[in-house]
Amino acid sequence: MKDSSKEIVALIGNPNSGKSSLFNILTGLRQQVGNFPGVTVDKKIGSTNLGNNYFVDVIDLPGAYSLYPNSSDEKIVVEILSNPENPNYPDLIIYVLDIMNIERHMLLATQLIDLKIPLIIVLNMTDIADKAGVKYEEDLLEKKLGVKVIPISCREERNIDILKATAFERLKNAKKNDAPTFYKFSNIDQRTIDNLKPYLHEDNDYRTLLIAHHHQWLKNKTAAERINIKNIVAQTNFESLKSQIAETMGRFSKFVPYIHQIQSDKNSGKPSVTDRIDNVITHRFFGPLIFFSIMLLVFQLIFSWSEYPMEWIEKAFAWGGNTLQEVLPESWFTRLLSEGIIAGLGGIMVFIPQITFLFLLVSILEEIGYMSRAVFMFDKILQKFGLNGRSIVALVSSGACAIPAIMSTRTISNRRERLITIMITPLISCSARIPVYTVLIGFIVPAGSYMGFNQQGLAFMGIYLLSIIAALGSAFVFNLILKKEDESYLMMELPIYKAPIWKNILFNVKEKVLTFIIEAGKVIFVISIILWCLASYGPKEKMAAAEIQATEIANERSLNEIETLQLIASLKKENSFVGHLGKFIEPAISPLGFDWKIGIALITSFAAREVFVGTIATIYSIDGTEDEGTIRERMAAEVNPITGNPVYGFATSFSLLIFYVFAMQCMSTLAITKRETKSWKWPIIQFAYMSVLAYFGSLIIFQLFS
Amino acid sequence: MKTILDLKIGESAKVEKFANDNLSCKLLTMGILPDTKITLVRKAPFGGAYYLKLNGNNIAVRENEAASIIIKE
Repeated sequence: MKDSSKEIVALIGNPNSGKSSLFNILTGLRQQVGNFPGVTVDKKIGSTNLGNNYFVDVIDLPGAYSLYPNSSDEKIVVEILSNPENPNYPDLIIYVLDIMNIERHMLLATQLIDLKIPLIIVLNMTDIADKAGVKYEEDLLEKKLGVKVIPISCREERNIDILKATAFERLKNAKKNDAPTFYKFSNIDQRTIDNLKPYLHEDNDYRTLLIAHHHQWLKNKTAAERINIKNIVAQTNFESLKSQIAETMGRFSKFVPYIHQIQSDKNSGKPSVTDRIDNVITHRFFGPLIFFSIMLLVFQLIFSWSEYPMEWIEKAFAWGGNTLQEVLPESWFTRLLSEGIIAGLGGIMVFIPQITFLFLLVSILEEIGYMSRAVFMFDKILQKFGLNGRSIVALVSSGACAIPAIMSTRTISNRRERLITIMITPLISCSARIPVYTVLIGFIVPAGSYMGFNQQGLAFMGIYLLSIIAALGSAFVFNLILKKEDESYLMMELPIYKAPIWKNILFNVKEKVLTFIIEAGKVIFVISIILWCLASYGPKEKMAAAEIQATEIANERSLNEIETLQLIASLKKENSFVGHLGKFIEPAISPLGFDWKIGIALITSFAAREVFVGTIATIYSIDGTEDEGTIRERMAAEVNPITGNPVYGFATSFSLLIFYVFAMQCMSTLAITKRETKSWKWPIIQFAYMSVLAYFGSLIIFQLFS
Repeated sequence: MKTILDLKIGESAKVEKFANDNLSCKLLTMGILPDTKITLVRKAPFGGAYYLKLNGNNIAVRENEAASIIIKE
């Protein structure tokens, strides 16, 4: 079953145990991130040298509190450990335990002991324990459990060499785990195990019991097997919930005395640093205030740091496109490459600085321990909309870009709450809408101030507010429509504040940014080719006629060469497939106050919103610049041939603005939604409901104001 | 029968039992067991969530989760 002959070492531990830090130390750059089949749970795998060039695969399993899972992350752990045929079934487990949280972290450790897979327990965070004066006697624990125990510190990379040597030793010499069984089963449990074991051909008691508990969702069991197991289990009046409660309490009552023996009491009674920080940070009044200040700062940083890199990327892609056109012979292929693919890829690459900085800042806040405080504060409000406290991270991030926001929803364990968060996130106004807003608000709101505030600035704020209201309103509607599935929980630990480990942050950011480039890149590659073809080609005669017509007009008006080329481009676009499409949809969009030229812009800006500005520039054959001021002037001069009124009057501009607030014009976001929901259904629904919202929003605005 | 909801801010109590089997599994996993001493540190700014301290560690639970923890009087 295993795809390589290399042995597998699995890292297992509770969330916040420092498991991923250990993974990063062990594997360094030799790591890759994939997906477990069928679920959006990251599978992190890498290889490490245990010494003397003895390489093993290290797999970082999702954080879990016990082998009774609450989330799809935790289920993966049970899925792998309950099935020795699983390709990820480990030859050795390194259990990572936070010494400062030893009581809670011992539960899973004792469950693993009973699975009899070779096991090493590492006590992590010993640096923090030393500073706090918390004592630990690893030898005593080792004797009590019968398992090798090694104190380490990921922050200081303490004892990593000892851990590697021990792992090597364990893999070489002792294939079996001979630790004594930790938990003594109840009579009913034991009888259930005895009945089930022969059917499963299983030799381990605890694994048999786990299958008795979880057979209904374990993927490696067929429907027939599930029925058989169910019948066997029913014979002994086995009740899963009761058995689980008894087991958990039984384990705790056995190991808590051990802990009191090995560890001096850390409850000195006086408030810790974390307590004192939380007195302010989660304060009734200051808490939310601090949260919004931090978010404001985060956005300030993102926008100011990204400004120059974004400019460089734009220039680099423009330069690349132009150079290709100069170097390669003039052909359809050259144009496809430069105007289609390179321009399309440039359109997403330009977001990399923002995404990188957003992930960087959010990861830092997470590593420090701040994010769980935000979740705690806002859980109640968000629950009213069918969201989860954990949605706050996504909602905030989406103010910069919906893509990292959607990727951050993985921490929401309830599927339904996660889905609603994904669905509404793109409604929050992201940074890509800003250029469009800038152009359009200029038409709607005159410059000047109102009660000391910049009027256009106020309009901007109003638009953002509208987008938040639309997002929460849509969440409310989804909450009514979508069927309730599993119960939702908050139950979350509030870890102590720690200085961030930079290695973790860098790996995390790198991995997320790469995922974005690869996943969104694939879809955008295809769509930009399609859009380019539609915009460059049209019915043959019409395209030819357009060129002749343009040349004639140019001669008539004695235009110079550049102006002539612009006129040709403009008339060609009018006669291309996109132009026809624009005219075709004109009857549908004229109630919104849009003509076919705006129609073309709407279609092409499906690729990305900011394309609007570029398309408008081409249609109105504006000199190669994309300067917003020039474009605005040209748009203001555009007159409706029938009525003689300006096209971009108040009503049309307002209606167009509303359209851009609501419409789903970002194929990268749809690509990420598809990836995160593992289906085409949700991105399609997302596209549809946002389009409906945009259409009717604009319709109402135009009909009211025209 | 008193639950965590009856505690005042800063008050502590020992856990007696749980009102809901389903929730109790999760609470046990988080280290909330009978006889564990729990302190209510604060409520969330907009209500709904409870900040608890037990064995020197901090945990956040929702109102319904807190209501299922029955405390000794």
